[in-house]
Amino acid sequence: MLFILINSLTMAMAVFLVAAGLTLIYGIMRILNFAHGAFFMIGAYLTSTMVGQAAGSVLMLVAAALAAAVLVGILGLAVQRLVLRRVMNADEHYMLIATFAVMLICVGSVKLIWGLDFFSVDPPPALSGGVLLGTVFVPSFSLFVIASGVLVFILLDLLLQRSWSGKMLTAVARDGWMAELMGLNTSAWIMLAIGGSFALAGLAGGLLLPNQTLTPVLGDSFLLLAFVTIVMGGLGSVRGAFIAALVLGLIDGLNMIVMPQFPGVAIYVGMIAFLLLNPNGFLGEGRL
Amino acid sequence: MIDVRNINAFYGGSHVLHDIDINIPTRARVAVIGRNGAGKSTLLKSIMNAGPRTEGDIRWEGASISRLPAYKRARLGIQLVPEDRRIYQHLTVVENILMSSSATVTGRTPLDISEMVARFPMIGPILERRGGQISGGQQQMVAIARAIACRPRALLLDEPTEGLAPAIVEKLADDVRAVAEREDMALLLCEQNIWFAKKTTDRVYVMDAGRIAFSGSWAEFDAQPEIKQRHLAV
Repeated sequence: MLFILINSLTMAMAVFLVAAGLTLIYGIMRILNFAHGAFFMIGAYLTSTMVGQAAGSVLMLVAAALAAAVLVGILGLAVQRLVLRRVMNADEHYMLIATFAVMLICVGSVKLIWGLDFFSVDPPPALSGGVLLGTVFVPSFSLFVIASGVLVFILLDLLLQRSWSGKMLTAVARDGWMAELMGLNTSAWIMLAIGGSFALAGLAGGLLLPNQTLTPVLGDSFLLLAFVTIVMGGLGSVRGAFIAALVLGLIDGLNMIVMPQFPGVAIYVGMIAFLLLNPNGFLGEGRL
Repeated sequence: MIDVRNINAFYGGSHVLHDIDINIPTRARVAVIGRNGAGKSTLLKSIMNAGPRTEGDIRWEGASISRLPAYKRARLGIQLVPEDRRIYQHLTVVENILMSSSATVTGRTPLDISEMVARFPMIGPILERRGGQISGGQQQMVAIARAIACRPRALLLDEPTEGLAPAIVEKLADDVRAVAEREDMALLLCEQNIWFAKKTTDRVYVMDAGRIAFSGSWAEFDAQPEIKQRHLAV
């Protein structure tokens, strides 16, 4: 039971790490970035190149993930200048198609650079073991993922809700026209948010790298779950996304207990049921 | 200070402003009056580069600003208070007011909150409320206070009396007049409420169907009742 709980929480936090960047770009800036999962994957590949077969230490893994975050953030700025900027005021369909194309380019580039072979990276030695909680063996890496998720959540929430920059960013997102009239350089703020969102995708890729199988389709599964999370959480709400990720994790855990022969089904059933009952999500804009 | 020279403005294919010339000297208080749809809001937005596509020259202190984005115009010291006020609902009144500080002109110190309350006593009791929890009249006060806080050199007010109760309109007229006299600031007001416009400004332009139909002092305006009849009567 505790084992499944820890598993659920690990999955929840992994999904939250990916969804965090998506809340920023889709939830707040209303940019539908279908390539988010692809940049998560690039973050993972970049980190793998930096750490090799196994990360030497936790510090090294975190440092490599942060470096990957910066690199992916820079890539994000390039995507903004080349693609997003042109479709930002168009219909969401155009954005979807444009970012879908970006995703295909990313996947293609990953295949060209890192090849088609599956490979994986071991956790650093300090995280490859486990700890005994009572009678249950808990992998240290799970605890690392849970801690990372909670830490990213707290930092992002503080940044957006409490800091002046976060308030300004939200203001730019809600009414950029007025913000501009008050002297805010809104395009610079949008660049910052987009860079931040991509960086978060890269960071998630790096932190979740160990124990993943690196393949060019790594982004897909996470992208779907991350979208489910931000929709359930209420678009634009980091707290909502965090709660939704926890709920999804727990639903998936229950799924494993009740219907182990159909893994992953309950999450989608849960999402549909939830949205029918509560279309605004846990903490949608209507409740801010 | 603001010199609008022969501008034409467009929304998509529709031609909204035709060959407009307007001059606002330093510290002057000028009103633009006209019916709904005459192009008053479009004029203010053209001055800020905040919406319509504008052709022609707009000068600030003699230099052309026609190519500057809106935020740079704001930082020169031009503040527009739009007719829908656009108070941020997720921010408190204080935060809304502090937000304009990015537009503070170099060399000027933004007003602090106690100075704001001295100028607009109505906002004193609501400082910590969120933008979504205050009345229309309060929102208008906050919108003006927010624009004043960064000590602009020119204030553009778009229909501040719209939707406000008569008692509030009177109060607002006193506050706007007092602020305009006290601050080193020009005022360009677009209004349909002639009483309010007269009370707060010295000169008037009448706009009709995107063109300037009259310009002069209020005494000259009053001396020609046919202007009112022809261009303002509904």
